[in-house]
Amino acid sequence: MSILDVVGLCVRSLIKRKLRTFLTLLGVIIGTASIVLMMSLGMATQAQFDDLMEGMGADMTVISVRSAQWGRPTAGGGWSQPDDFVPDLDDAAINAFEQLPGVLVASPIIQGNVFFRSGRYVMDAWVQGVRPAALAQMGYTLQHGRFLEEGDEFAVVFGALAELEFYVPTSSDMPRHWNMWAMDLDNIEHYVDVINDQIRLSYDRRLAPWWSGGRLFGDEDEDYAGMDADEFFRPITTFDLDVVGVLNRVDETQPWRDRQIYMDIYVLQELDWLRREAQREDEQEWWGIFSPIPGVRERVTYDNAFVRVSSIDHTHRVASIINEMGFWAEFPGDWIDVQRRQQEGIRVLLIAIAAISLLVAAINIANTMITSVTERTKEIGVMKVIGAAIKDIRRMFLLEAVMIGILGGIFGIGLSLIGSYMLNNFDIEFLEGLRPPDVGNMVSGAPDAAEAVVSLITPSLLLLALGVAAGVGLVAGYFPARRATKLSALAAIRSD
Amino acid sequence: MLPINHFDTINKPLLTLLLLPYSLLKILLYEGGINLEVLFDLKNVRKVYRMGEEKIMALDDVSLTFEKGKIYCLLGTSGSGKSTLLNMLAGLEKPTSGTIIFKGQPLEKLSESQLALYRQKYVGFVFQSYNLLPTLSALENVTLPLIFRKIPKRKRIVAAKAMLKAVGLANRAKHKPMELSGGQQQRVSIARAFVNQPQVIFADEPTGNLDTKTTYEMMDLITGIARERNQTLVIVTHDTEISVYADRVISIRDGMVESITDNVNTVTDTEEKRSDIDEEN
Ligand SMILES: Nc1ncnc2c1ncn2[C@@H]1O[C@H](COP(=O)(O)OP(=O)(O)O)[C@@H](O)[C@H]1O
Ligand SMILES: [Mg+2]
Repeated sequence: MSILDVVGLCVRSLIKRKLRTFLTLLGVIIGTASIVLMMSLGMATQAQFDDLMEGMGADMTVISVRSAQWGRPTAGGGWSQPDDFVPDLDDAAINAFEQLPGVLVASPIIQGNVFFRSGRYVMDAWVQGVRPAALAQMGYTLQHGRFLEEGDEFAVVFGALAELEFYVPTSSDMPRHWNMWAMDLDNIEHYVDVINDQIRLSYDRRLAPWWSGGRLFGDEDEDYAGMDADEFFRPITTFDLDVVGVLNRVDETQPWRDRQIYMDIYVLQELDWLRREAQREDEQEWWGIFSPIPGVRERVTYDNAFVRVSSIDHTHRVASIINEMGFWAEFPGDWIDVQRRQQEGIRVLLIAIAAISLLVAAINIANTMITSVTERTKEIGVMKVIGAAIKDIRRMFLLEAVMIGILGGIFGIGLSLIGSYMLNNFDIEFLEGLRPPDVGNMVSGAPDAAEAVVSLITPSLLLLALGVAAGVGLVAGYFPARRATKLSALAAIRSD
Repeated sequence: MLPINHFDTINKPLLTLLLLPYSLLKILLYEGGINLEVLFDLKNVRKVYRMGEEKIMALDDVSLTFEKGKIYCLLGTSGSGKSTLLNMLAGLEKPTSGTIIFKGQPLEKLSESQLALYRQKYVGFVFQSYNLLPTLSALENVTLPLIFRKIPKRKRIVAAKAMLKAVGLANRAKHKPMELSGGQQQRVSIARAFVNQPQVIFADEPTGNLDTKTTYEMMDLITGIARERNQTLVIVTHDTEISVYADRVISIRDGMVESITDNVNTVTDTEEKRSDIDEEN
């Protein structure tokens, strides 16, 4: 028996029992429509949250970790009491973060102040020290060169716009990054070819700041305007800097993030220690006192660390684990995440209720099919006697159930589209709670909540719904169909 | 032969050897112009129904042969076991013991799906209560066996229409069973049984629900088609009037074959039969 013929027979049998078919269909229609509608609410909120995050430009896969020695911020905007025991944010702790499932990399992060000079340009830079291996996992891509490697000494990786911080100390022009908003950042004029030009690195503060108008701090009377740049850059010790890589731009809306310069944390620590020692010597030279506070050569605890997870789905979980470990973990937009989670709870409940209605529809189909098999027992017997194969009988009933599922699915989808339209175009009070928070004015680029939809139906959602409806029919029809095939032909014919 | 591997349990050379005398005889008889191709060969068939503790011997040691192209009548009183025998021939029931060989294949060894195939290819069935599918038109009811055989649509409609015409219902093709008289329904049912061009047609009390006049019309029709096409017909009845249509009457009593009689002057001519009826009235 060909499928087309089976379909033909099923259609007849469905039409014959119009009222019953209609009632069974109604169940599937309501079940499918409610599932689609409930999921559409979720998809709309999800889409809006995604937009929101995007508008915030937050990389939600980066968690920043700090010591919770002063407590943590609370949801209400306050500050919690510190825990009784506050663990140190040290290498062991960071290694522990790295072992958490979903974590790509964890690294302490320190900032160190160093100076660069290349020709007539100088830079007063805050360099980020990270574990060399971590840089490659921070979501950056390379424009030139490579990331940091273990064993690199005075090697740095420049952010795409870090070069803007070079300035000419003998002029009173501001470093360019001060008005980078007004610049065409895609076509910047290169003062320094960071890859090829020689750059010297120093840690001691013998550099005229740009705002001194070419004068060394404290020597306002003297006119240095005509002096050579060397006069303004007189460090005690300098090193050859190797710029091993230049990063690509990460975010158009946040150009400051592209000004970072990365270095091996251990090298930076050493430089920082040297800087502080030099500073102490300076202080002694100028005022004749030796600062009693020595630098710490090898730091054992850090102020900051960051953890990068493999996807946004892990962010919340990993952050809460780290909080439970006694640290203060934060990620950009975690307040949005809290809201999203709260709404997710409501949505799961709604979907569960919708799923129950679909389950009822499935039971309804099964009931209808069993009735149908019982009613048509004699017919089944006759068909078996005149040559129907067991497979034919099974297919007849299975397909009938699946057709109810598919038909109900199609009408249910239609109903859900109408429902979705109504939800989006009429103000429905109780759904207000499902809208995402109105952050349009807090976050630039976030969509205006007022114009966002309440219900979002995508083609894939419709296909899924249709598949589920057909599947429900298939499952519901299985036992009735089996029952039909198991009937003895003779007994069936004798029955009335 | 059946398209089923039916020799897997039998030693084929041995079987051939055993059947050799029979085969030789068959060839001889064929040469002599006598049609003796055995379709069914029943050996010591027994059927016992269990009703709780009680056992009912529906068939008791029946050994029979049915030949191709002949019309048989299973004659007996109600409860004698006629239907049981017929159902076993149609592969609807299995014997408790004994064997039913259809063209060399023991039917009782076939699986459910093989039996479905057997009925599809070789068997037509006419019921006492017509048993047409109520949702389908007369034409569709007749096409049904062809649908099960996956015959293409155009072909099967042509065949079904021709069959309906042969039973005199060409102008009722679109009618639902409900809209037809009992006799007309039985004609549709006959058309459905023959449409597949089966080798054997079983009819269980095909006229049991019909009046006398229609009964004879129906018997004329069914035997006429079967003879015309050289098909084997097995009719179950308790009515001796009907047995005159058969070439061979097998009387059954209490599950046993009581007698086998060959009708010499088989009624083949409708007019002749009609006059018989007139005389009776
Ligand atoms: N399924 C069954 N279960 C129990 N007994 C049966 C069954 N079918 C037939 N019988 C018994 O077997 C005997 C023969 O029945 P059947 O072949 O139908 O008789 P007939 O067709 O000659 O009237 C009867 O006594 C009947 O009651
Ligand atoms: Mg009977």
